[in-house]
Amino acid sequence: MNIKLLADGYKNNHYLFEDFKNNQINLDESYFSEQNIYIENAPDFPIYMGKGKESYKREEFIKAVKIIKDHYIDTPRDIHLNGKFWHSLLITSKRDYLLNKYPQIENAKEFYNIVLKKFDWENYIYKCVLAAEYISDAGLEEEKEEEYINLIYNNLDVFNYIIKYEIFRNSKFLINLLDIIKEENYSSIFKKKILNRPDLGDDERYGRRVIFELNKKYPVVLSPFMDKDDLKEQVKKALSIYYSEE
Amino acid sequence: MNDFQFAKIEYIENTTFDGSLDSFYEKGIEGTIRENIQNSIDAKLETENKVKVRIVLGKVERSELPGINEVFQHIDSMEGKNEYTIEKINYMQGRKEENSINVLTIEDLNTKGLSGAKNGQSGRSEDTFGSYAYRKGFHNKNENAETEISRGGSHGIGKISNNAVSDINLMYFSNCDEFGEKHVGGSIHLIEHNHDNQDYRATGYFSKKDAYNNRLYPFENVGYSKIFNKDTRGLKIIIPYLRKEFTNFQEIVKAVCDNFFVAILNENIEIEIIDKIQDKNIYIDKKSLLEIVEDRNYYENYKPSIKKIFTPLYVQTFQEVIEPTKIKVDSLNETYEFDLYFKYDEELPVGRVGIVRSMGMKIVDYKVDRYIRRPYNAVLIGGPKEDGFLKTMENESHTQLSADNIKNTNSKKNAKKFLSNLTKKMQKIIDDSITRNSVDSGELDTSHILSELDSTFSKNLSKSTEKVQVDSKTSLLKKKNKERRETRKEKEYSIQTKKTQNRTPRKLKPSEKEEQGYEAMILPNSSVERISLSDREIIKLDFNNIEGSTNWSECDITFVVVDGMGQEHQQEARLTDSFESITNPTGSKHYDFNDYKIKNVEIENNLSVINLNKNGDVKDSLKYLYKVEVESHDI
Repeated sequence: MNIKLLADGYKNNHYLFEDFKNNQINLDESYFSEQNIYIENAPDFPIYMGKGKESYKREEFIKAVKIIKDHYIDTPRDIHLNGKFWHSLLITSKRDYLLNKYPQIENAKEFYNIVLKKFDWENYIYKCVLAAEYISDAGLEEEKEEEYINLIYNNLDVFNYIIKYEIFRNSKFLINLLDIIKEENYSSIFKKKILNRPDLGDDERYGRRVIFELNKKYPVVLSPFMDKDDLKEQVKKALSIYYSEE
Repeated sequence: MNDFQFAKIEYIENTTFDGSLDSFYEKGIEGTIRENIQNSIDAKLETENKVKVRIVLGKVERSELPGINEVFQHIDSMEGKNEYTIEKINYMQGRKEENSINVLTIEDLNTKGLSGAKNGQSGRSEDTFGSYAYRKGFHNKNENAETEISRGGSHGIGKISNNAVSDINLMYFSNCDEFGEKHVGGSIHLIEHNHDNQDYRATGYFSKKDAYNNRLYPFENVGYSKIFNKDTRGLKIIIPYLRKEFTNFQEIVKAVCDNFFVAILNENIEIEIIDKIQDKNIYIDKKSLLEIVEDRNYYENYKPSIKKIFTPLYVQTFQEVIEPTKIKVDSLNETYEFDLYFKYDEELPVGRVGIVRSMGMKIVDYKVDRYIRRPYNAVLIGGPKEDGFLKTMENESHTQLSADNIKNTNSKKNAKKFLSNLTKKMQKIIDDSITRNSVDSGELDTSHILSELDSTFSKNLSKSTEKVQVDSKTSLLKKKNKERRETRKEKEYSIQTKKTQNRTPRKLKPSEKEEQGYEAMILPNSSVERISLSDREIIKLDFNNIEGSTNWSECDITFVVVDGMGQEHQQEARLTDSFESITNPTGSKHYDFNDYKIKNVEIENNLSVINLNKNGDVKDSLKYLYKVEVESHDI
């Protein structure tokens, strides 16, 4: 199917939201460009996991990553890593699905926060696209795949920090790190807030600091390209700077 | 039957006023004048030569405003949830008892007016009445693509500027269409509110509601006060409860001239302004505009004092330059052509380029980077294609031009490229005009620069290689890869190499915490030597190339960590973990230090040497820059 791309400046276009809300999206309006993108198949997938029960959010996340992996990430990277493409897809062909699933988007603020959210590490589609890419690059067996998507979801805070730093954006590093978290049972420690260290800021967690320590040492220590065992050493070293059992 | 229709809603969600109200309120009466006259020019009838606009300041009795009691019932039922909203609501409610009310009307002639009033809220784009009256942020496209691009508005939200200048956010309008059908409409912007146990949306429309299809339809213009009369084809805007500070006759005259001088000089529009309260009036056409800009009651026109409002200069430039220069400005993928009216004038203290849409409205007083205080004045006008491109860079109220108004990264790059090319082009034009006009400067002899360049170039070539030790016996020369984006002009190149030979420290702005009287800088890597031995490290800081450093006697040294992304962090080193003690080279003096800072380090003969004694065998794999703080009265 063809997806008509939105025109530059669409986020500033105040009638885009009104028209979306009133079901008056018109492909000839000025908020559309003349460009089209062809994709084979564009099935629905959850785009927002910010609200709801934990188990529901997890299901939605897994579902989204799987659908994106199976149907979207075979497009060139400049398409599936471009926010305009996703926003265009949602505006042109997902209105009914979205309104049904996220009725709050009838409010302009929620619309911009959920549908037209800036395409960076805070955007759920962005997270799912990168997760789908890494899972797909790792070439795992099918049941393993679900396990790793689960691991990503369980460690979403660390995942966010990994995709925030470009140097860590590779499949092997992510899989290694997830393995280490699983083997060493770090998941809950990584999520914990670091107390008694007011110098670090209000919301510092062990996992975030570990990723940051690896970033600090790069490129003297090339953790993104290390084997799992070497990386584990580095992770332990970094964690021991902050963690002491009491 | 109600006169004002507020949509019923299930529950109140949003308790703040529409943000555009505030941004237009800040623009003052000028914002309203711009939006309306721009709409009038856009709506010109093809059969007419020029549009006429009549702006009237006056008074009405409260009872002359239809539905006003109902309006105040809704205003009274609003409940603010934050201080700002509460204050604004109180202010609106305080207007209830007023009887003699300020009103501004803006009427256009020789224009199309709105069409399809009878169809009411049809949602069809050809019914311009429906979209003007009942939709927010909607902008109907003209069938003709070229006029569409050169039209003024593009954000489709300008009409809210009329509500924004009313104390109670109320406006009405009267329309007369090509068949002589006359209708009235209007709108009020409140916040969502509960009235008689029913929740209502923020916006109310002066309209009737059809009981069968639930659509809004306008009232026919029969039996209203004469301020609502609109007998010729076109549109009349009526803004009651005009804020007192906006009733200034002179400001309105200036708003018209400042923004539409090109349209007026091109004789596309004439504007009459009548102040019934002070019994003043003025008719602005090409001839009277020239008089107004000369009139000191309206404009500062003593050239050395013109620093803010440039209209008299623009008018003069636009009138005196008969043949504009054609200039071409490239963006990444397009070339745009403009007519430039340019005048050099030594008396002027500051220079601006008035950028104007082809329909005759000024967008911005453009400042040419680094050339803000040059003696010139210019007017720049493009065609429909240029208008369309400029439009993407404008903010909501069309008064600023910047790539930051574009969110898409590619178009942003494109716009940045365009703006930087425009700046370069203007800089060159300004430079040329200054050289042409300064007689005594003569030609510069540049031959010595060329020969010097020749010798520095070969010197640099030998320097730009570095020794690579392969093993202890042989050494190889390896070419240093210096990143250079593009070949620069030769002259600039020689300056550039000078800079790299002698790197200067990067001065830092003092943070609030840092005491006054201290100066901080990051030392260039070439001024720092760090040697690691088995039990200690030695760091030597060389201040020799730094201006004023001979007077320094002491400094604080901060270890700034550079992370893998190139970000600098000032509190991320861990000196207390890595080092047991830090001393001067002889070990006779111990320095105080915390995790990232060493205090009161001696400077002797422009050098500081510190000795860091390692704490066990902690291996440090971080990369540092060194921040040095000195007392600035020493500098």
